[in-house]
Amino acid sequence: MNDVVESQESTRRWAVILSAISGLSVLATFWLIFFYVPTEREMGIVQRIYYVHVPSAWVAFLAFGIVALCSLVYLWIRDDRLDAIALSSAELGLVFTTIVLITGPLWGKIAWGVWWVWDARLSLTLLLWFIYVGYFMLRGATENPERGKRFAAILGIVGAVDIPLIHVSVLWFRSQHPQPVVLRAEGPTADPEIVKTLLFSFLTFTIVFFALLLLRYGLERLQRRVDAATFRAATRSSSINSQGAVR
Amino acid sequence: MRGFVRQLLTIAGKDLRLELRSRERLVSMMTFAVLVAVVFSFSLDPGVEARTVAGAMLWVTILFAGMLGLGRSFALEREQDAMMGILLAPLDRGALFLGKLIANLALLLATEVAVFVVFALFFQLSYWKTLGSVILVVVLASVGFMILGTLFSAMAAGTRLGETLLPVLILPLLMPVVIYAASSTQRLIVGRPFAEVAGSVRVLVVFDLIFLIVSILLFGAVVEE
Amino acid sequence: MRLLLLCLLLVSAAPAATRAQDLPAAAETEVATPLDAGAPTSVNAAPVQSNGLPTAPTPPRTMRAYWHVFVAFAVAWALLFGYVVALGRRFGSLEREIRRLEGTGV
Repeated sequence: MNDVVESQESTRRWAVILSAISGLSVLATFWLIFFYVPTEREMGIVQRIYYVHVPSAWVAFLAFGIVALCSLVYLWIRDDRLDAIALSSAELGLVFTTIVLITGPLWGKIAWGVWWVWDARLSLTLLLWFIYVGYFMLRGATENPERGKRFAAILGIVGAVDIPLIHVSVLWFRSQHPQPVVLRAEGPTADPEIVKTLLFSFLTFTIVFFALLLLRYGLERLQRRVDAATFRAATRSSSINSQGAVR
Repeated sequence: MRGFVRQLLTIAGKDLRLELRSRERLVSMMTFAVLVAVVFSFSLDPGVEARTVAGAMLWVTILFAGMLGLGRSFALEREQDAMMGILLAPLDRGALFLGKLIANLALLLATEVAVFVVFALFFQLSYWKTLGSVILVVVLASVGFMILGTLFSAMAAGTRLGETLLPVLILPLLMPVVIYAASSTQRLIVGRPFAEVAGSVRVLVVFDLIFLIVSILLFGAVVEE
Repeated sequence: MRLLLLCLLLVSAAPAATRAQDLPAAAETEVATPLDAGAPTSVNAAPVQSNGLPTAPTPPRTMRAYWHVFVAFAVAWALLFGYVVALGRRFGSLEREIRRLEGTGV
């Protein structure tokens, strides 16, 4: 019991530290986006959406990777903490994928003239979003919590195996998304300021993601302990009176 | 190995025998598929040449008919709690999965024969010139569909929502199958050579193999307890 | 404290709007002409290979672009902020729950 409290404390401490860092980092990113970086010559002002859109996409895929990894190890050693990390990461992945899917069309409407095209990366992100939604529907629809964890882990793994295949197939299908301007073999093509800003916002989003992940994880652990305690209280008082302390 | 194959065939045989007696899944799948073809013929503008969209229509029909069948795949086991009996039997989990897969696949292939015949009649399609390639593509895509379908219908059967959840879970995951199957079927129907769809066939094979292995490994975690 | 910080950040999304004001009103003319972005997708036309971006001759520099940037940033940060608020509320209700449970002596 004591080290549970202790680990809770350290989770909280780290969450506070990371939140502070991510707050500062976000402020710096804003300064970079709005005051430092020059407006891109060809695309104009809308290009600034990149600084939110691209890092969010990166974080969304990172989150899915974490879900898959934790799911795999969870099926192996059945540690409840791994499931809690997978769940938290999936929830954040859903949030960031939603950001990608909202900011993308806003950019596309200006740059391409249409809100949505069935381009490879757009399709992939949309399907990723649906897989995340399915993940939560599966969990929510399973009454037995242990079974829910197992099922969710299986979906996490199958989804992660499927993502590269979906990527290959939609890429083959058609692609008109702008090619990466920073991470490419011949070196970045964009202005150095743009590259710097983009890289910095990658860093910021990653920090924000881990700060939120830690917060969400702490919440999930607390929730599970409370649920267990409620259950114990309910089973004990139900022997006294059937009203119990069930929520 | 011998035992494994025998177990697998026992499970598949049990499902198919049950199906032959009641025919409820096969009849509902086929009726549904024919009705979808009717719906397509009424909803398609007369100006549209059906040949040019046949691949898409065929695969939409197959996907939904297959989903209908999958919804009932583990229904009996769930309703009578017969799953417990199967799990108590000295049976390899992989064999259980493969047996179920074969039974589901047989039903789907039977439905697909009906689908292709009905579409040929309704929309004046002809597959003769490329029949071998069409069969290859359809079988490979159906195997991929049913591998994920069997795995996820076992999971969906263990939830409150049951088969309602199934399409939500597997349609996004099946997108590679849909893309390659529909496009190559379409090309073969309009008479393009097999060489043009060879790449798609290769990806379908890869998809099937990967998920066959993954599903056999994971299926134990679906049915444990 | 965290919330305060995020509040600040949300407000700092405002520069997008203030910058938009600097723009000459004359720019507010026509929106981008729809590009042929859909690309021909009829299947019997064999694999569609429209690689790269459709080349827009002149990037549209209209008020609309500024609006889109503003909305994108606002929505993104509102979502994250809302998520943090939701987390905070769940923490709060859990803490209440714990206090209640302590009352029952578990």
